[in-house]
Amino acid sequence: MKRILVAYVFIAVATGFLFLRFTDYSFSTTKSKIPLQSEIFPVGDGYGYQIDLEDRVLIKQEYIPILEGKRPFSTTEDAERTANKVISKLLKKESPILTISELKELQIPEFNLY
Amino acid sequence: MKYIYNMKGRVNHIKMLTMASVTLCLMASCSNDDEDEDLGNWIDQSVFDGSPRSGSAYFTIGNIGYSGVGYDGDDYLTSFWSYDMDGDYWSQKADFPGSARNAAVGFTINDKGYIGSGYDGLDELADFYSYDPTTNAWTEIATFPSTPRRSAVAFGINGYGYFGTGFDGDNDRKDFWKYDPTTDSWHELVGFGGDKRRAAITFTIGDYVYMGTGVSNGIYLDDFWAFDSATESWTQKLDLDEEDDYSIVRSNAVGFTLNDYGYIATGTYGGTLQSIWEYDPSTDTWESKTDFERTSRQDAVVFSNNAKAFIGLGRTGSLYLDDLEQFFPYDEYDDED
Repeated sequence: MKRILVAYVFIAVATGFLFLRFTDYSFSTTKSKIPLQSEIFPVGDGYGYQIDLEDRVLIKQEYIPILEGKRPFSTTEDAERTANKVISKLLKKESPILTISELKELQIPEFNLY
Repeated sequence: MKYIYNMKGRVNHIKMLTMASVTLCLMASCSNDDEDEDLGNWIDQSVFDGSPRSGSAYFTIGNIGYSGVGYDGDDYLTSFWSYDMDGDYWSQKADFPGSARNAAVGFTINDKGYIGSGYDGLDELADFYSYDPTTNAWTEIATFPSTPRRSAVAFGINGYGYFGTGFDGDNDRKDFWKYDPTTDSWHELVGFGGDKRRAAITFTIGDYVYMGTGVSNGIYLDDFWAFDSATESWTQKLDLDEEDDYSIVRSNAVGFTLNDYGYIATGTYGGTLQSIWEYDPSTDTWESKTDFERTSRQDAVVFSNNAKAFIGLGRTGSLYLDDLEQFFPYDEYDDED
């Protein structure tokens, strides 16, 4: 009897685990099926990014958002972190509007002053 | 006995394994089904589904549309975006420097954009700002000297800005004012014979600006006016319900110009509308065009430079970056696109 119980428990746990795995698997597959990609390109003495949806450009950001003037990102890493943030917001079905606090969180140096 | 017990156990174990594998097979097939459904849904839905952003201000300079501020259902916004009509992409620009608001007006004078007035959730507003696209920078201009208001109309023509009607928090208005950017000053303009209203539209054809629609005390207005920019005088045109088959009256619509015809699109009349009406200034008549294909919605934004027009459904900026739709008035309707 004990063994049967143990077997039941084992199967329940295994099933639960696999269920979670499958769910997670299908979830992440679904997410990655939204064909959003970022590209970093040089602008002046810095960098900009663009977000592509399949073969179409959705956002082209030659300058740092929010800031007045036309200042590109100082490093490719800054541009890339910001682009990835925009993609993650779009994947969560959030507005891709970036805020000052988000850009501070991303440690974009131009926002340290705020 | 022990052997027999083990045998039983083994038999049970085999049963269990069989059950388990059957269960797992079922689960795997279930899971695959789910995956297919999710994929289908993603394709069917707009990628950028979310809470609507409404009451954004917008203006067009050359082949770039600009749209900013607005209300997303939780917050009043200051973000400001540009849309490149040729490249079909958006960029987030310098934030609007005034307080977050919706129901503001936007207009263009000589390659600079202006946004002002509106509602911040508590009060109607009277401050105005100009945006220079060559520097991506905002400058505060002279504050509107009369009652602060929201849901007004504004347009730029001949180097001046014009701003009028709207709701001041207690009453709808019918006064019109002129902004002169060379002296940074406002002057009241007399001579508008129409009724007070809010949430009306304008469109510009040549030297004339046409103004109509809107609502006051629950009554939708049917008068329609032409403003001669050379003489700064208003002339009343045929009513928007002149013909029996007209269903043009509405509020919170958008007005735009394409190939020297005027258009009134979307808005609300009881419920939200998808219909688009085309105005021919040479005959003072209206014709119904193919309904806007997307979900009907009020407080849309429109970018038009007379050669191209893009309507977005009251969710600007970005939210729904794939939400803008170019309007081709003479193409046959195709539900496949």
